[in-house]
Amino acid sequence: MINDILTIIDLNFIFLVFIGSLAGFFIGAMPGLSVTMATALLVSLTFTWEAKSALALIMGVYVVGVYSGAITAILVNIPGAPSSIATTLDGYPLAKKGKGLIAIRVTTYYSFLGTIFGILMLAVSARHMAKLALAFTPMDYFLLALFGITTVGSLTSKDFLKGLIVAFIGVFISMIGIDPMIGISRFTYGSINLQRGISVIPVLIGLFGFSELLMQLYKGEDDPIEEMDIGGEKIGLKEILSHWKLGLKSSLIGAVIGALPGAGGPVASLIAYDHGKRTTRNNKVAFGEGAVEGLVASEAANNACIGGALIPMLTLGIPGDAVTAVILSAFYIHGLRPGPLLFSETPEMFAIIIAGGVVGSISLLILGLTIAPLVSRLLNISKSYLLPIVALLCIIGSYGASTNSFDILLMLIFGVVGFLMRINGYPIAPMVLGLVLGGLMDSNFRRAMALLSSSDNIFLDIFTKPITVILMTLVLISVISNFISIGYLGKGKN
Amino acid sequence: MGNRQFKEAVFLAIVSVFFIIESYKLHNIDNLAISPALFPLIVSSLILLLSILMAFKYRETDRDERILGDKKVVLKVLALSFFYLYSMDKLGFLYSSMVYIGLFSLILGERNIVRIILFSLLFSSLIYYIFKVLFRVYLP
Repeated sequence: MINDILTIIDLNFIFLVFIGSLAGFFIGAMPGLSVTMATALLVSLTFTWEAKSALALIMGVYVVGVYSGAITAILVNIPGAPSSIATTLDGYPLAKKGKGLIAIRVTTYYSFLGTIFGILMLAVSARHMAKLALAFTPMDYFLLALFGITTVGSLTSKDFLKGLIVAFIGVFISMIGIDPMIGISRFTYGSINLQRGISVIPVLIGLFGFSELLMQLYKGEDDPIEEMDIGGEKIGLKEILSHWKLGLKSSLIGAVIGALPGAGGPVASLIAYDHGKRTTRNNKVAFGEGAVEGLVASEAANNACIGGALIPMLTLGIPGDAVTAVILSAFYIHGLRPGPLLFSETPEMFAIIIAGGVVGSISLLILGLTIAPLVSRLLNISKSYLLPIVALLCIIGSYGASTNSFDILLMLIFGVVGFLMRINGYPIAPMVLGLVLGGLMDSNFRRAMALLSSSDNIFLDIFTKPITVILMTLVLISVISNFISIGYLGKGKN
Repeated sequence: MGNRQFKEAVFLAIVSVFFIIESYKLHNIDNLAISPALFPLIVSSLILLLSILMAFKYRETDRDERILGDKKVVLKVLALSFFYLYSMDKLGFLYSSMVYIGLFSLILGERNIVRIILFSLLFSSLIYYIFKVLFRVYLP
């Protein structure tokens, strides 16, 4: 296979991957402009191209687009995509301390590491990982999403109860709209706009971006951007790479979860973040207050998801996430058939994807170390100009996703909700995660219940499946440990 | 027992009871396992339970951790933003954005009118070009 990969990488291939990477860098950083949308555009633009060139461009956009969501997450607390939510928890506090450059460098190196790890997993263990993914039942998907929700305790450094309530409110909001299984309207009260459901992007932008803007106005900080002198602090490569063990573990989490269709970056980065928080000792700064380890965990995981998501797509013809669903369509358009026969009929396609991932990772490193710090210097302008820019980007970001003015209204409403939550001590990230995971939980829970209701022995069906037992145990441990750690039964204790 | 967080917990509990009732109304098929009411019922019940636990936890605390600040400027910006949303369909994206950015800068204390006008024109046009022309996003 290495020979196949080396044969594919020529100057034209590298150039196309780099152009795609450049586009992915700017698109991925803009909330509301998703990598999925960019990939879909590229599939139509490259319709008449040969498959190798089309896939080179698409892989560049995919790899760097996933990474660049972290840039705005760090600099202005607006994640470029749901998979970068965990990055805001430590990235933005680091930027506010004037260490934005450190945050960007760490993110760049560990996104690179995560991507390479995921691509290696794809190259080496695609068939085995595909078997594992096939073994997941609806109950397992539900438990995985529930585990994601219960790890919200990691996201709320102050109050696990409030975090859990907010997360379940997010799950409830995800059920507004047309029920995907039966087709009836739920909680729409006659509104056509609500029948479409509540989109994640305007909620994400409102809760993170617009509410942060309102907080800055409310607190009346004088030119807080001056504090973000991102050129001030330096960090050596040795110090950055000292977290390699956490990076590798997080990458493994990301690659495995990425291989589960539908699970995706948000779940992976959150679980990796939680794992990092629980297992890291002697960190200089606490998680949630600018810990470099938090960035390492979330970014390594969400980029390793790329390789993971490609596994079921290439080996089974089942997309791992929204972007791979679009890439799958690119394969069909070019007359290729992903699936079990891919390796025997068109093995060079597998090599093209691997090569695109590797070259894309190198582009990520180059762009992240050169252009990202330059882009972040744009923040060193007066608040009276910067905040209107951020507001306009929030509005256009919400609108751009679906070109519906109702999404701008949603963004403003959730901006107010997020602002009120912040001033009253409620965490906001769990609500977005609940919204993202809610659909997965609802449909898989009901499928699981339907399967169990027709089972002869429910006990055997649940407790004889190792994956189900492991996930149940993880959920119980997560819930019990979080409740114990906050000492909830204390009298009026926070 | 009059503290703010206790009141919030009670409010959440009342709202969750409302949604438990609304969820129950969705149940319209025999098989509960695939009923559209099942998961909303479970989630709203969980929210109720957690709200009760929260009320129990904060029933006697005196600490109020609300962050204090300037509400007026927040309200001004919110009113401006909602007005911008309303005017976008009437004036179109480009002109309404110019007005929005200009007024926003004024609210934040910028007084150099020439600079405000130039900045509003330049930035709105740039955003319009990037999204409408480069990314082919439809704008009003």
